Order: sequence, then structure tokens, then C-alpha cells
Amino acid sequence: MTLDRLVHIVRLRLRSLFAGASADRELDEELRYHVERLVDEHIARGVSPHEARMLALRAIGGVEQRKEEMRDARGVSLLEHVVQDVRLALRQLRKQPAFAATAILSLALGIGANTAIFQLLNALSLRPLPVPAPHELVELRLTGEGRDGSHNGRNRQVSLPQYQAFAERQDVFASLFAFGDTRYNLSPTGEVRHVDGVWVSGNAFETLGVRPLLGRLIAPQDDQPGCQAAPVAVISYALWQGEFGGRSDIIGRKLPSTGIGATIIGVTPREFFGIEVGRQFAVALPICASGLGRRDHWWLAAVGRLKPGATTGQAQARLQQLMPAIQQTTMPDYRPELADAYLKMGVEVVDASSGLSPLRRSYQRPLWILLAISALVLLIAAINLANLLLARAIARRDEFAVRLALGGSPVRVLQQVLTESLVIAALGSVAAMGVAMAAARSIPPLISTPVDRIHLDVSPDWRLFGFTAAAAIVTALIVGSGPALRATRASLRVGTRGASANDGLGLRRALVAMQIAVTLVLLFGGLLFVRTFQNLSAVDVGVHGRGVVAPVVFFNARIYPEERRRQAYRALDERIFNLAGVHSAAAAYTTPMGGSSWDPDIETDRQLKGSSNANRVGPRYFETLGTPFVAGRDFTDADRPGSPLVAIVNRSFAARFFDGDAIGRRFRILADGGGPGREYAIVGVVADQKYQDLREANSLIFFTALAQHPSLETTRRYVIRSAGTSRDTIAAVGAAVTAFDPGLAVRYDVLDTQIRDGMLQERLMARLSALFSGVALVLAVVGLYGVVSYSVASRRGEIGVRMALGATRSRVVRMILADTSRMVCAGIVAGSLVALLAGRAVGAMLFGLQPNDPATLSIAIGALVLTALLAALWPAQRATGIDSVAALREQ
Amino acid sequence: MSRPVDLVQGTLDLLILKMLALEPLHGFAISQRLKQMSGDVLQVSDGSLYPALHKLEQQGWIEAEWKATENNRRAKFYALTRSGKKQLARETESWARLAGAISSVVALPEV
Repeated sequence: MTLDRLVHIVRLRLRSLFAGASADRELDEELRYHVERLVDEHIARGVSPHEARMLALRAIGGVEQRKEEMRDARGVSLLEHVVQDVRLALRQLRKQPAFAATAILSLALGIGANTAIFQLLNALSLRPLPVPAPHELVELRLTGEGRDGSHNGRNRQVSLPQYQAFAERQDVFASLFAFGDTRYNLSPTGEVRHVDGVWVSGNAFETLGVRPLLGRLIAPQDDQPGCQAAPVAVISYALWQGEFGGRSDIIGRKLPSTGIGATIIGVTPREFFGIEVGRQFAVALPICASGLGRRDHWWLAAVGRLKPGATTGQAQARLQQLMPAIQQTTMPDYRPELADAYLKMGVEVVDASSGLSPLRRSYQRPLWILLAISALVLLIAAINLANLLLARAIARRDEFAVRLALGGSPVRVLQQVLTESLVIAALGSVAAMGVAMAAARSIPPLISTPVDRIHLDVSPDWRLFGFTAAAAIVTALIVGSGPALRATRASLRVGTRGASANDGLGLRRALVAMQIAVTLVLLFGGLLFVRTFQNLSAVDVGVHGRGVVAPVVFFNARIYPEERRRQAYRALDERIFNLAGVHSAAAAYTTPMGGSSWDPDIETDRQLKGSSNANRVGPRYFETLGTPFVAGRDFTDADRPGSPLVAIVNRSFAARFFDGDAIGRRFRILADGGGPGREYAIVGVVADQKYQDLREANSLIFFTALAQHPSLETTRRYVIRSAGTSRDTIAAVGAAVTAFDPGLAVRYDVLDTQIRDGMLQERLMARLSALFSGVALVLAVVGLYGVVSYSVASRRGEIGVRMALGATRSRVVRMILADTSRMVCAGIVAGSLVALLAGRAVGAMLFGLQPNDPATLSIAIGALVLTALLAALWPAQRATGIDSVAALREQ
Repeated sequence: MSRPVDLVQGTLDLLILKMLALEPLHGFAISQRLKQMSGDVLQVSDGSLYPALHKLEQQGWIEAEWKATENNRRAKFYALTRSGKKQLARETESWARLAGAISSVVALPEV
């Protein structure tokens, strides 16, 4: 086909599509000319004008048919029919505003919920980093157990010396950069205001390909040893806007801070949130300013940009070759067994095109499950609409039959029915986008804590639109399938006058049974998650956290060198312990679920026993937290530096290492990496506490006396139980700290909140799955109600006859309910099977119950049966109100 | 008079193209001309002519123009396009082959 012919054809088709009316007029005129000429000829032969006209029209053979054939010949009929069908569908929706509103609203919510969850998944896992050529980015992950020492940060993989060795020796990356996450306090005095910060190597921005919005970004010359004296900082667009009002004279100013007085050199573009998905960095500082260069400090992630054409496989093979030499040169001062493990470590190269994300680990699976759940809710909503449309299709069966009988093609009828459901789905999905935007934005705050603020970029992209469109089309097919089946079947029985009143009821019943089944699966799943959350909430943490406030006071090591800090701690302790209303208070290194951890290796009788969780606390710590002593004594002020080293252990620790009889026994804490460590005598045993995770069982914990610890933190943490509310306590502590030194920064944790924050994922799952299954239940009940009502209405005559023949009201009610029960039972049997299978998929996310928990399944079935019967009872009652005489007369 | 011969599928297109190759015509004239030229042997129903014309127009083989007729009324005149001429040549050739094949089969002596 030549090009100009193609152009010609397209032009003609478009013309007839968009100028359908004028093209039709042309047809008219052309045919009219022909008819008139024929008439003229006949008249010339002496036929009467009237007869001439009849003859001419007969020759043409039906003007309208000819016109339709010519339209077909124009080849635009499909498009034109679509336009016609869409117009028809819109007209029908306008005629039934209640139906239209129900349909569009339920699809808006159904598709909206799906889109919202997908939006979060997209932001968390699918969307690439907003940098050039993100597919070239990879992350290094070390494999094997061999990293003994201190660990910090969410993305920790390597130590600084390890990163440097990789960067120096590697030849597979265009460049390799490192970053570590931190918190940055923007408020030098008073209550702290933490924002997310990142330490970056000098080549990080260059490797990522991020361009400054303002000023310049951190470059290799900014990341040189000794930069601590005058470090530079890059801030994010959000911080620049929020904190500095977007002023352009920001460059060269100092960032407020207690520790590092960094000079702002630049601002990153708006879309760049950092390298970690789920976070939004506010401040970036060069790694040199961190002062963290120890070989046994694991806190950095290493991210490389592959050389063009290089694959992750090649990179991994090459790095693996270099690994022994790198490990050799970067090994901390380890004792032999640790050294052995360290030297044996391997390296993996994994895709980092969509950033790094520890959040992904904990939320990817829950989000996929929520997506499945919301898809099922949408399915139920779609079935409801299919049922409604089916009822209408049945009402229109005469119309369909007539159309088919008159030669309308079944395809054409099908097309029209499907177009109607597509129009509904399209309108629904437009509304759904609005629902999704609002819903997706409301989720990150639900899983954020004041300290861990979750940020996800949920702005729409092509994946989102694609997903929504796909959801809308699938929904339309489901919604349209019932009525479409029905409509084409009309062709098999032309002249449906005699068709039974129950027409289509079988299909509708099957659809309802399916809804019941899906609802049962959702109810069961929702209950599993709700009970998991309940079980977790009921976990005995081993402390009575109610009303306990845990403030953390930050000291600047330059203003407070070690000796001065020691004195300051004593003086501050004094003030805080003696605050009015304080029942009990203590100092501590960390608190249960407090986020900090210490898990040294221990030795008894010169035998390495493995690691245990540990904490260091002051006197009255256990009293303040309400943890009872099983045996022995608490620490006292007499347990000071120089006095014999003492420890308190929890019951599990005592049971594991000393058969429960721990008082007076001794153990040794091995120093990080090696060294002889120090030996402690056990003076007390306390009840078990949770350490970091509510799900942990019998975790081993020992406590040393804070005053006897060899090093001194730069933060002082307290636990305070007082008579007043936590707000009163916070105000009192704030006043005391300010009175002591107005230059100190404080963060206020509340113990109960910290413990609850350990259940954010479970809480989200419980809330959303409960919400979704509630919606599913309502939708299914509405569907059931509709079908039962319809069946009662269509069996009016039959019921009238039965009652006329003496059937009692209760018998009629029973008959209707028995009918309902059959649908419900079929649904429940199928649903139970699917529910048990689905339970297995979520087994790992449950706590305190099995994925096939029979009690939960029974509750779900019970609730469903009860609501289903209630939904059926109303129409059944109405059936008994049928006036037999009137009903029979209608027959 | 014998019954008018039903047109072999597709030959109507060929006839129309051939007629328009001589001069541009409107629909009514085409139907008249078909009857005259084939001596009333080929009878194209007036109804089926127009869909065929429109199909040819869609194919780009003929093009239409509204013009005044001999008795000064407006009618739609169809004319052969360049690609229509080529199509005519192709169809003529394949018709000749078909006709030749059929005649030679029909001409076989019966034993």
C-alpha cells in the first residue's frame, strides 16, 4: 500500500467518523438522486408517479439497509458503534442516577483501594531512583558472619576502611561511593528536632549524577581527613523550603547544631530524596566529618555505578576475587575465631536501581498481601455490579431478543453490553485516582514514628496509570460478563415471552455464592491479622511502661569532655531524681525497644558461651520499670568504679548459663573483637524482659552497673515514673535540664509509645485488613439481599399459590431462608478451602496463632452466616406479606 | 429471455473500474451503462451498486466529486484514481486467466 493511499484512506475514515452526520447526508443525497432518476424513467414510460416511486424504492431494496451497508463499506462502523454505545451507556446511566452513583462509587472505592496500595508498592519497590541511568546502580552486600563490633544505621554493610579498600582496588565500577544514615539535630538547645541525615563519600553525588539546585554538592575535595574542623553540608529541597523559606542567600550559612557547625554549600533538586527509599534525607555531610573510621564499626553502605556494559555477575565475580586481600588489609584486631570468620566473608552485588530500602524488607510482603486483599474486595464489588447489570439485562431481554430476531448481530449486542460496563469502570477509575491519592498519602504517617518518619514518593507515574487502567478493564470484563452471557443467550430463544420468571437467577445465585466465598476468605484473613495484633499487644514486655518517660539528654563532647561530663551526669541525676512528683527514676544506656543495642560475647569458666543482649543501668532501674527481682539485690550507689564489678541477669540468662542458680556466679564480657574483657559477679536475677522485639521469646539479657562501665556515653538517658502525666514529667524534666545548662538538647521518649511502635506493621495490617473485610462483608450482604429480594419478587405467584393452599407464614420464611442457605453454604465450603490455603501464605506474619486457626475460621463463618441470614430475613418476611389473591390475579 | 446472470463474486468491482476507466460517472449512470453494455445480461441490483462504490472509494481506487449532471442536478461522480488504474490492470489480468481457464475446461470434448 503506497503512502498517499494510506493517507487517503485514513483521511476518509476520520472524515466519516468525525463528520458522521454530513457523510450520512451525502449518502442520502446520492441515493435520492438515484431514486429520482429511476422515478423519472418510469414516468417517462407512462407509469403513474406513485407507482414509479414504489418501483424505484423496491429496486434500491430498502434505503436504510443500503445506508447501513454503505456505512459498513466506509469501514468505520466499529469506531462509530463504540461512540454510539458510549453515548447510549451514558444516557442509560443518566436515566438511573441511583444505580450510576452506586456503581461508580463502589468501583471508585474498590479500584481506589487497589490503586492506593499499588502506589505504595510502586514507590517502595518498583520506581527507579530519580537519577540518570539508575539501572547501572548496584549495592555491595557482604555475606557470612564475621562482623563483630559496633553496628549503626539501617543500611550498614561495610566499615569505612573496607569501603576505602573496595573503592581503591575495584575496576568494575565507574565509581563506588558510600553512605551511612544518621539523625541530625536541628535544634541546638531545648527539645531536639531530629531530621534524617546522611554521611556521604565525596564522590556520592557525582556518581549518582545529581545536579545541585543551588550552590554546589559535596565533592571529593570536601571529604578529606581533617575536615571535621570546618565541614560542609548539602541540604535537601524540603529542608531548604521548610527551614529556610527557600531563600537563596542560604549558601555559606551555618547549619544549627550542637556538634558539627557545618557550612551549607548547596541544595539538591526537589525530586531527589536520597538513596534510601522510605526516607527523605534533610542534611548530607561528608564522611570525614563523622570521625567514624574504626575497622570494627559497621555503618556504611557501598553503592557503585557499573561501567557501561558491565553486568552485576561480572562485578560480583571480580569483587569476590579481590575480597581476600580486602579483608586481610581491613581486619580489626580480632581474636583467632573471629578473624577466621572475617577472612571468609564473601561479597554479593545486587541491583540498586530503585534505591536501598530496609523498609522494603518489612513492608513489601504486607503490601502485596494488602493488594491481594483489596483485589478481592474489588472482585466482590464487581460481582455486585454484574448482578445489578444482569438484572437489567434480564429486564431488557425482550429488547435483545427483538434486536437479534431483526438480524442484529450477537457481537453487536455483546459489544453494547460490554461498552456499558467499560463506561462504568472508566468513570469509576477516574474517581478512583482521587481516592487513591488521598489514601496513599495517609498510609506513610501510619507507619511513621516521631523519630522514624517514613517518606514515600507517591506521585503518579505511568506504572500507576497502567495499573489503574488494567484494573478498570478487568473490572469491566467481570461486571459485563454476566449480562453479556445473558444477552447473547437471548439469541437462542427468540421470542422470550414464555421464558420463566426465574430467568438468570441461577447465574445470579452462583455469583452470590462466589461473593460469600471471597468474603469468607477476607474475613478470615482480617481476623488473623487483628488477632495477631491483639496477641502482640498482650505480650508481656516485662516492664510496666505506663506513665514512664525516658528522656535522653545530648552532651557535646567538645564542651563536655569526659571528666566534666561525668560530673555533669552526677549533678543532672541529682536534679532529675529529686523532681517533685517523681516516684522512681534511674539512668540507663537503653530501654526495652529503645532502639540501641549491645550484644557482647560472654565467657564462663573460660569457655565462650556466645552472645547475650546487654544493658547498663543505674540503681532503681528495675523498680522504675516495674520489673520484679527473682533473687538477689539491685545495684546501689556503692557499685561504683573501683568497687567489685557486679551484674544482674534475667531469668532466661540464669537458666541458660547457670541452671537457674546464678547469684554469686561469675561471667566475663569479651571486649569487642578480642582482649581479655572484664569479669562480673552476678548479684541479682530479674524477671524476663523483651529487648528489641515483641516477638522474641526468652531473650537473654544481662545488666551491668552504669557507673562501672569503662567508657562514658555522650548521651544520658533516664527512665522516670512519676505521679503526674507524661506531659507534666516532660515539662518538669525540660525545666530541670534548662536550669542546669540551657545549651543542652533533650529528646523525650515515652516507654509505652516506644513499645507500641514495635507493632506498627501489625497495626497497619490489622486496621487495613479489618477495614477491607468489613467493606467486603457489607458488599456481599448487599449482593445477597438483592438476589433474595429479586427471587422473592419473581416467585410472587408461586408463593401466592402456596399460601392460598395453606402454607403458613413461617413455612414461607423457612423456604426462602433454605434457599439462601444453599447459596451461603456453597460459598462457605468453597471459601473455607481457599481461606485455609491463603492462610498459609501469611503464616510468617502471624503471631500467637496458626494460619489454620480453627477458632478464627469458626468466628469468620459464624459472623458471615449470621449477617447473611439477617440480610435474607427481611425479603423473606416481605414474602409473607404477599396477598395471595392479588398475586394469583397477576398470573 | 433467459434469467440475468448472477455476477461472479468480485466481478462487479472489475466492471465498475472498467466503466470508470472510460469516463467519470455517477451511480445511476453506472447502473444504466452496465445494463446497456452487457445487453441486459448482467443485472446489478441498484441497491448493491452503492456499497460496492463506497468500498472501492475506501480502498482508494476511485474518488468521488459532486458535480452538475447533464440535466443540471447535483450528483456524485466517481473517477478512477492512479492506483485504481493499476488495480484495474491487475483485475483484468486475473479475470482473463480465470475466464481462459474456465473456457478451456468447458471446451473439453465430451466423450
